[in-house]
Amino acid sequence: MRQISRAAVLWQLIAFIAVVLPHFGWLPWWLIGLCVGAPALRLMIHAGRWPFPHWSIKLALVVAVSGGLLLTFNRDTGMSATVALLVAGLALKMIEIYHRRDALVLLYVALFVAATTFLFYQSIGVALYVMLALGVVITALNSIFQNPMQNDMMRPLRRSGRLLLFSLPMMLVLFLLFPRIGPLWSIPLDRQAARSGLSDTMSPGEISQLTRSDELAFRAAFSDAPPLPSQRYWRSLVYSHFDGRRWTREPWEQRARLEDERLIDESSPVTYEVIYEPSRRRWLVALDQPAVAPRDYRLGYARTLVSDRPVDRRINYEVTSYLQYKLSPELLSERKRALFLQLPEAGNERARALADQWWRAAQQRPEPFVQQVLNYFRGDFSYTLTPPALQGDTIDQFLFETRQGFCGHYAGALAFLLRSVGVPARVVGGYQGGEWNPYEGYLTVRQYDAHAWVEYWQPAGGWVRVDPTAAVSPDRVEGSADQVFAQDPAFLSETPLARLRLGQDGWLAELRRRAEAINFNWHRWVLNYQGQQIELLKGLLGQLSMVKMVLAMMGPVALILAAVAWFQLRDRRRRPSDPISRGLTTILKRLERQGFQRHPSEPLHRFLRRVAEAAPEVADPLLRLAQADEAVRYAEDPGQRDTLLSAVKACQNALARNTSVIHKRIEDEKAGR
Amino acid sequence: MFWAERLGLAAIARRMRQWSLSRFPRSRSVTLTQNRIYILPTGSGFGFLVLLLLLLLMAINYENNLTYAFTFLLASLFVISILHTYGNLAGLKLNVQSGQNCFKGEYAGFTLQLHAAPGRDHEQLSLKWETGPELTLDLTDQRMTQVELSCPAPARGWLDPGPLRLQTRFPLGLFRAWTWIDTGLTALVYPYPQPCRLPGGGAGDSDDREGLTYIQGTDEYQGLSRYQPGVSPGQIAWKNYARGQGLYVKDYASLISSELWLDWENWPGGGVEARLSGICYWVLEFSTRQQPFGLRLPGFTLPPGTGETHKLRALQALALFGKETV
Repeated sequence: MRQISRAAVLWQLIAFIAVVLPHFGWLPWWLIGLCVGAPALRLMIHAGRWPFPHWSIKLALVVAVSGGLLLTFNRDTGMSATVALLVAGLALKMIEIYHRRDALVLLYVALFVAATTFLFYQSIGVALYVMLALGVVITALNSIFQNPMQNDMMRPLRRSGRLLLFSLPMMLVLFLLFPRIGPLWSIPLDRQAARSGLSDTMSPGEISQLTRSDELAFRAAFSDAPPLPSQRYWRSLVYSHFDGRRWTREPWEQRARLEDERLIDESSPVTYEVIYEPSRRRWLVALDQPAVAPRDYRLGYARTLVSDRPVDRRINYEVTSYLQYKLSPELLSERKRALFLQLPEAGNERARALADQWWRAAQQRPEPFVQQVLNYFRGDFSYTLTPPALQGDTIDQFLFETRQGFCGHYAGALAFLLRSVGVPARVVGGYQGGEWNPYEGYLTVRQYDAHAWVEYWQPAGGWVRVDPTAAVSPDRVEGSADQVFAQDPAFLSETPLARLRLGQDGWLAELRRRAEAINFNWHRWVLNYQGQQIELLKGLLGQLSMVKMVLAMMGPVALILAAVAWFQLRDRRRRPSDPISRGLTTILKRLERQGFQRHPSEPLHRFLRRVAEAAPEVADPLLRLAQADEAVRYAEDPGQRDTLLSAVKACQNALARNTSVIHKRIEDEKAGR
Repeated sequence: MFWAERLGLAAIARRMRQWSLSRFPRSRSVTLTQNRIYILPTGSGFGFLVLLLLLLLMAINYENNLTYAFTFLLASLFVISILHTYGNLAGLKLNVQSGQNCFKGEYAGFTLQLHAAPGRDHEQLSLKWETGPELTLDLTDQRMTQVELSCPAPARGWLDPGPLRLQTRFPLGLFRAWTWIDTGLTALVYPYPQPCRLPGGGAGDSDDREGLTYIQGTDEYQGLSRYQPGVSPGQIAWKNYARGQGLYVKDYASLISSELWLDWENWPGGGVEARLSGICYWVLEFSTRQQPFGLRLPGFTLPPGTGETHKLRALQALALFGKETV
């Protein structure tokens, strides 16, 4: 068993710490303690203060750690339990590290643990850090294969730096070209507990919960200008069932296919790419109204975009939407009509009565009726995040008593009123608005942009969108949620610090947008590089085939290897820094090419004199050089160095000028002979 | 190719070595180039590949691009380290110097000179004969190093240490680059000097010590002669040297009344090796005492004499006795 050097032991310690550090964010406290204690113990052994622990101590540690792991993690904790186990194993191995084989096991496991960091965190900072940690592990790996007497800590660092630097281009090629295939089997990550986001029921006040969070919902990149703020309705869910208090979806609706909701476009299409954050739910977003479903996803019930499995990782997709449209202007089927007219048998009688009254006044036409409701809202209704709680006949209470509400209250009430007079209506849940990032051309939509609005159906016109919130608080639709609620204490109450970064103007906001733009590109081009891969490859290679893919990967890899081989095997001697010896080297090389070979034992001046006889064209400077060389070498007169330098220069020039002449003469002489 | 040997592929490994040796003529100076350097993953290199596979599975299953990047960086590192391991041997120049003769049962040393490739470092080079200890060295600060690589000498006669194996696992231990070099070096292995009594037929009658005093007593100091290289330090007139008179050698003329013969025929009993061991011991003993002696072996006679050359001729005759013609 080979022992490793003291420098190598220190590198093992550094590598261990570097690798486990990012996991401290989620590891149980006792494991963190072990991760700090083990290297400290090994350091004491390293310093010669303590001996290696007795086997009984090691056994006790193993038992304690196993017990701790069994108590902390259970069967369902999946990957994090595995990583915790590996980290615990690393820490224990750390203590007894002494031989090369121990170190090898430690470092290989450390590499794996470093890679698992990405299952928990994926920011640019973490990525850079983990690559750095990888560098440290490789340094440690190099250090155990060095001379056990070698204690220069820097030497392995330089070597691994060179190794990794040369590996980067090949990594890039592999990253770009290696085909991404879907998961072979599915292992859900346990760390992502339920995230905030829209849910499939909407009770009054449900959405205002979301405004407490500034968590990212999704981002949408536009190649051209984004739609106007008043057109940014991101459709996500449609609620069609009302039980007197909550709006819900029927269970079958979740799996339903898009049926007869035909879309007639009345404007030019807008195409955009959505980078959707993991929500653990099936629904996605699209601007009102999506034309066709993107690859891998489908248009479901009521023209909402859905995924077949819960979105448990960040995804991106490209959609085309028509902002001006007619949606199923034909007659509504009886079944659907019944669905969108459903109301509880009784309850909210005052609201029903008021609706009847307005319906008659509007001469049974939906449009004036809606205007009447909106006018009513414009009266003394207010838009607030913290409306009073509602009991019993919630619609009645809201319309006639509290008159305070969030978007859900207004949308729910409007849909109720419409249905009660026989106009098919439904509540649409989604997001409204988004912050435009001018640097990368995308909209950022956060959870506090969650919104609800209403669609009602009229013959000939089809489904029409109406947003009652716009009547109560036009700023909410024209501007953004954070402007409207900036003063409301309930807004962003979960992340109070987020308020600080919310300014819309000033250099701080500018800086924030720039940072977000970088992050956006990171998500789009690195973390979610997948969809773009095929486009990129098609652009580069034309029609894709297996052969082309393999060639495309082999070509650059071969080039890189050739470059590395050249760099690794080249002569790393520096050219002489002294101008005299540099000049002399050039002169000797040039003469050699002319066929004048200097014998190993021949003094320079004698050689030069010999050449001068054979080549009268350059005899003068050669003789001068010979003289100067003799003077410097034998008289040891440092004052002559300048003379020598000028002689070298003159000789170089003369040779450069006369090369062809000498060459020709020598050739002639040969021919003559 | 330790893993190969463990897998029962020793025969293949041996054949490969034969083949690789047969491709290059024996030479006293060898520069390692790509056609004589072999490189294969080590056991831990295969372990690394397993790790890469696990990471790739993780990347695929979690559809995690950063894990892909991490995996690809390690995969590239794996490939690049081939070049580094190869580069650690390539360009290295080996000059074969000489073999040092030794006695049976000892280790014969073989002197080798290693020259670094111009402008490059070589770390953790391991040199080894077929048998014998492995020697690991760095060629970093100095451009050239001379090493003595030993090989056990189990038998008398010419020792052929076999091909030299020069290998390295630097820098990451993922690959092992190696080469086989037929150095053509040999060393002569003398019989093991076994102390024993000088048989009666010789000069030292009974007791060693008596013989010693007697023999020394017969030396007569003749004067000084100029120093010449090769003279044993015991003969140098150190006193004169200390006085600053230069190096001189004390001349002794032994008054040899009866010539000393180490005679195979008269040597008492024992097997061939035991007899040779005994004679060898006395060859060394007489040489230290500068006592002239002659050696008589079946088919070989060395007339009495002294000096280093005389001793070596005697030892060589003993070493090769019965092995081949001297």
